[in-house]
Parts: sequence; C-alpha cells; structure tokens
Amino acid sequence: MATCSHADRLIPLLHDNELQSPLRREMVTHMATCVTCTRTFSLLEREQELFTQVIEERVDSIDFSGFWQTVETKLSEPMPSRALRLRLWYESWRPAWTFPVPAWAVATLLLSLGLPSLYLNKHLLITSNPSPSPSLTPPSQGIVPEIAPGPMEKPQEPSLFQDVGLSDDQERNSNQAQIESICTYGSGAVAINIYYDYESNSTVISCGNSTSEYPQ
Amino acid sequence: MTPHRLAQLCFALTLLWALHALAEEVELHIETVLATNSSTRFDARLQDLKPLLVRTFRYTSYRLVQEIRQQARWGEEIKVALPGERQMQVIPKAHDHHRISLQVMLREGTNPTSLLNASLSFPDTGTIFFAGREQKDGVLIIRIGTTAKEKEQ
Repeated sequence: MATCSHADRLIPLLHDNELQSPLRREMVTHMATCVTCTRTFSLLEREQELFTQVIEERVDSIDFSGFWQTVETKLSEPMPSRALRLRLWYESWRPAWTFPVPAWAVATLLLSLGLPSLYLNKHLLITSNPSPSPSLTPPSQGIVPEIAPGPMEKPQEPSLFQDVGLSDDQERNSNQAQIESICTYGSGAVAINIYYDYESNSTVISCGNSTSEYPQ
Repeated sequence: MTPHRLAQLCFALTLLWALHALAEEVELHIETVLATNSSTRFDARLQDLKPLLVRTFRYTSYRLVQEIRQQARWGEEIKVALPGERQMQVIPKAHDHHRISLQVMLREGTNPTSLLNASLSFPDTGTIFFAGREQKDGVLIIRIGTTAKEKEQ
C-alpha cells in the first residue's frame, strides 16, 4: 500500500481546518495528485459522518415528551421541611463524620484544653506590663513629663498597679482611672493633669505647657 | 442516643463554647470635641457632658467634630483617624473586676509622630478624656468610652 508522509501529519489538520492559508493551499494542491492523501481525507470525512449519525440516533432515542411537564411538577412541589433538608445535608456529609467515638472524644478533649490555654495566654500577654510600640518615635529633648499633682488626682509614676498604691481589690475597684504608665513626646516640658470627676464618673487627662492651663 | 451521636454532640457543644469564648468583643466609643473661644455655641449633642466640660475647661464653645463606634476584640489594635491629621491607636487589653484596661497612643502628622502613650484602666461604666496642648484655635478633647459585650471574666 502506497504511503505519503503528508497523510499522517497534515491531512487530519486539513480535515479539522487547522492549517494556515499557504500550507492549506499547498496541501489541497498536493491532494489533487496524491491518491493516499485523498483516500485518507475521504476516510476521515466518512468517520465524522458515522460519528455524527450515531450521536443523532442516540439523541433521537431519548424521550423528551414529558420533560417540561416533569420540570413544572417539580417546581410546584412544596419544599421539603427544614428538618428533612437538615437530615439530607447531614446524610450527605455523613461519610466525613463517621469517625469512631474515641476520635470524637480526643478531639473534644483537645479542643476543651487547647483553646482555653490559648485564650488565657492571650489575656496574660495583653495584661502584662505594656511596652511602648517599637514604631514609636523615641522621646526627644527633656520630655519626661512634668507631673503636676492636683487636689484630686492620683500619682502617675509609670509603673504597675502595686506601685501606685493599688494593692487590694477594694482600691482597684474604685471608680477612678488607674494610670499604669503615661508618657508624652515632643519638645519642652509637659504638664499632665489628671482629674477625676465624680458626677460624670470620668477621668480627664490633660497635657499642657503649664499646670495652670486647665483649671481644676 | 447512640454513643457516636453523643460524642458528636459533645464535640459540637465544645466547639460552640470555644467560638463564643473567642468572639468576645468590646465596643469603643470615641468622640472628639473641639473646644474654642471663638463663640459661645455649645453643641447640643454634648449636652450630657456640659457640666463636666464647663467645670474642667475654660473654653466658651464646644463642638462635637467626630463620633466613632468601633468593635474590637481584646488585644486588637484599633486605629482611628482624628481631625487635624491626628491618629489614635487604642488596644483594649482586658476586662477585669468591672474595669477596662486600655493602651492609648496618640500620634500626629502624615509621618506620624507620637504625642502620648498611656496605659490605664478605668471602670467599665466610666469614660476617659484626653485633652491635648492648647493651640491658637483651641484644643481637641477626646473622650473614650467602652461597652464590653461579654460576661465578666
């Protein structure tokens, strides 16, 4: 049987209309003189015809007569109850949940032990002595705040609760604000006044250039 | 109820409890008041603060220029842009013995320079006022209040 190098490589592409114009023209010209390529091309066309015919026959064999009627019936059906949908959803996920009982017990134990410790760690971390943010600009010239004690204010030495005289819960539960630490930044001396207003249960912290800036 | 179902139920309840514990939140209420001597106008929205403002500051006019309510988790840093190119960072640290602990940082400028850094605690029913240095146009007064949304620890 005669063979042609074009028959295997280029004829299928020509049949699928995948060749660019110059090569396509060349192949069409070649096919006019090459029996092998002409035969290969004819075979491909015949295969496609048979394939299309089979698909059409199969589609024709499907009965679509009651299709829309069925769709309408489904649409008019009442939705399943919430409990049923939940049940269906549960059943659909059942394979993922079918761990043995010990596995569930271990998971529950780990969750109940792990998360509280994480939670406690978080609170221990955030209630520890605060340090200034690393991105803060360091204080420049002479910025240690000049504390100006007023008649009603608490001392504001930067320190822990104990250092400002709050050694017991009774004091800690007082209505006044407790200043653990406070610092200001910038040039010049700064007076910080702390004033507690009993009527509004508010604490006022004012920063000024002098102690007389805000009346007490 | 089968042991399998019981185990699943226990796990689900523990998970719910854990999620609830992690979802604890606090609401910060930050108001910025501009106090000046330019007029005698008193903002009606500040009526409940009038006695305190009048008692504490010397100004004749008080205007609420910004009011922000912000949800935050404990330990989460909240940044709030304030009028006058100022920025406030607040970290709600803890809610303990009916007291709220906060870290408050006040910064100024487009390339922020720190003005104030305070770590304090106050009653959960109370408020804190910060008043800055007096400028020629007056002074900004910042009021911070909180509402803790979880049960007392």
